Amino acid sequence: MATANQTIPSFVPVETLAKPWRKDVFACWPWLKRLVKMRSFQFLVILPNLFLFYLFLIAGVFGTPVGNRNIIIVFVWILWWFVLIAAMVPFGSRLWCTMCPLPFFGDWLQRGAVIGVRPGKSAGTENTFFGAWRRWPKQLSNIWLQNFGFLFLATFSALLVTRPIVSALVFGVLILLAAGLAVVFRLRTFCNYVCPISGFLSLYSMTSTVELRSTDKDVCLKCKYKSCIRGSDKGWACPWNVYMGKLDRNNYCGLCFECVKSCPHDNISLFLRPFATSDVGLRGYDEVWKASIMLVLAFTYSVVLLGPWGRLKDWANVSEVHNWRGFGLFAAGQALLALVVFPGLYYLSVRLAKWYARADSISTKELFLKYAYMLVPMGLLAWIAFSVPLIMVNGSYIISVASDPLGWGMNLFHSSEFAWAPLYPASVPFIQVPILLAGLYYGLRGLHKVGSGLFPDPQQLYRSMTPPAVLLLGTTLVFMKLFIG
Amino acid sequence: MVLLMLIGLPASLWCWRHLSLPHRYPPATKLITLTATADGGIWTQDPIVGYNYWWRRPNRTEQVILNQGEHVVVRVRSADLLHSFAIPILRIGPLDVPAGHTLEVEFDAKRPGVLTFLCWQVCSPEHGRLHGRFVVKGDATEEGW
Amino acid sequence: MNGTVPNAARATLLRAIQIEARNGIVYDSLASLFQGYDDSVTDIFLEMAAEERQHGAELEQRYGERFGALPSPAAEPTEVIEAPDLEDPEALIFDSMTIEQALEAGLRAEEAAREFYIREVERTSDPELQKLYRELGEFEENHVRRLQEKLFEKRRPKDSTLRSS
Repeated sequence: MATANQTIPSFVPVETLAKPWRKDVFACWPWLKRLVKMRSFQFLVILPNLFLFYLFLIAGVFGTPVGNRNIIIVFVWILWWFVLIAAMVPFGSRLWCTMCPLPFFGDWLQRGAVIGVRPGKSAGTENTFFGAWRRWPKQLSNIWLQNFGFLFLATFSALLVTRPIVSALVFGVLILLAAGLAVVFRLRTFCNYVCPISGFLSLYSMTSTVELRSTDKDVCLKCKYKSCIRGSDKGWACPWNVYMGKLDRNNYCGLCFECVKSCPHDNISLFLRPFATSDVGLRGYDEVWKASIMLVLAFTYSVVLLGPWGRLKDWANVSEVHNWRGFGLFAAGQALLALVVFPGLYYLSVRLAKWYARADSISTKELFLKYAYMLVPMGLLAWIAFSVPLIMVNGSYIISVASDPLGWGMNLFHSSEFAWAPLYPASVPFIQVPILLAGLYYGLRGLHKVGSGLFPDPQQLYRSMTPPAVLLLGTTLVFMKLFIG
Repeated sequence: MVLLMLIGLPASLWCWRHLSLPHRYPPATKLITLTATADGGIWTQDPIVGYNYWWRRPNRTEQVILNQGEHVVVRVRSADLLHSFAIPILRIGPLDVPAGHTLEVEFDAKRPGVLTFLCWQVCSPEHGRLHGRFVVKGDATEEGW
Repeated sequence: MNGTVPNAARATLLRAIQIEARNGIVYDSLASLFQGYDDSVTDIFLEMAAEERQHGAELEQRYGERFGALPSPAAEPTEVIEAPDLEDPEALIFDSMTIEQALEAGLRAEEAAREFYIREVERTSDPELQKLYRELGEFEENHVRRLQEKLFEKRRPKDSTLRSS
């Protein structure tokens, strides 16, 4: 798409040599299609989460300040986080976005409806929307804000994941922000550009085993009204601003299924596909840095939250220890690692790759963008490996907290005094290592897939792969050393 | 439905705390909630919850006045560390109160007098300040504890 | 055989008219998509929509001259010969659509149509149909040329003294 005088390389999806298999889920299970086509579908999946989210906010503000006795900490940072990263993302893409309560009030204000559709004409759509409907600034129409937002939150992770009030504050701010942005800007601006959760979901959903796509691209080509993105009397305009006619990656499809409802040709379906084999194109530097930030944060979270280094924990735990100098060192170190050091190492590997493969016809920038995909499956599986001890060691708190969500002394299910019981802690490294090795495998596989599209000559291909593969291997070894000693 | 939830949930929690909880005990029970916090070594009847945890200036509970004959339920809580609760004169405790947990202690204020309660376990540098007393007011002529 | 040729030519011309009409609506849809984003992109698509409708009118005139009154609209055209489309499904998310890209979208569609008619000239052995396909091909060639000129204009630096070839 880029013209010759644009400096940023254009996004070009890499053609695969062999198309991975796909299975049309809606064709196999028509009841699922009928379910998602119901107008009330999204409301029904959001409502329970809205209730829980509200309970979490109340618990965070009015419940016990002790993290492992408060539902907001235990259910969000142990249960929800594990389910999200280990199940929802790899097997459901952005399924969390389907049921996320954060944009609920924003959507309500913008649409003036919770379930129904309002046909009409609102600046480019076939629906009636309320609000100022302003354009999000072009300079911020990327995920840089989400990158820095997530990094900022991660700097305070020791507080965020242990102090109920901090979690409540953050989620409260996010929901207010979502509502406020929906009133001022168009569609789901919050979700696309601001939400820190959305940032990493966009990246890791590329590996997912499901995708929502148009069944026949020719039908989309001939479609006169492009109802998927413009809306119709059957469905709202795509809140994510995605054009289904050419969609070829999961990153920004929030699985709201409005397009399934609005498509006049019934041409959109949910497909199953193999893990980490399909979407392999990173679009811009913002996405590359996202991959780097997430990988580095998996490392620093593991070091601080799971590691034996008390000094680092104290540095991160600034609210109790009050060591601001230490906290500054920790914050600066983490930011430097995520924004400079690791991307620098990756850049070096790309330069070496280009030199070693004598790849003069391909620019460094293009190779930098394309090969960065290898960090995506690696990062996801590193996060899963980090999350395994979280659930296995702390999972028993879920049982006690379910009975006493606010730590007020309730005993709803007669399990409030269920003792902490780690689940086979000795087996944790034996689970983490295969996950890390799987991350290495899928990272190398993605590297090979991308490289095959760029280098027809096998020797050149493998030469170009070598330096990034070494970096990937080194990263895996660092994680393994961290997890198993 | 959403509005019902927004109002109903906090209403339900309020009802549990102020209506349901007191009714778990016999009528005329004196229900006292004591929370231990290591910062300052304070027993307090003020709630220490999420929003005031860092800015808390809880009022120190030096003494609690009881009436002779009252059945007393003390809900003992810890806001931060593993504390311990004991009323030595009544041979109650020491009972561990882990962080975030609620322990219930019941006794009858049969005679007038002073019942000291304290944290039995060295929990923090301020451990020595973690004590208070129940003052049972009654017939001055009757023999005390 | 002669009795079927006018029918084939009539059907082909009718299809071309329907495609122009459909594309006019598609360009209108693309124009409305970019409302509030980049008015210049919207304007380009609106221009192309107007041109498609004009092309359709010209083709209708030719149809009228050869075959008489236009029949009532039949089924939607199934061909995708000349179907403008967004290349980038995330153009609105990244707000990355430019005037040049809008023109390129139209250019791709017109070039595809031109190539189609050129191929049909080579494929068909019937002289009447060949003549019609050549006419339609030239028709599309004019559209291609006009879009190329517009694209050149947009890409040319403002103070350049170069002239378009």
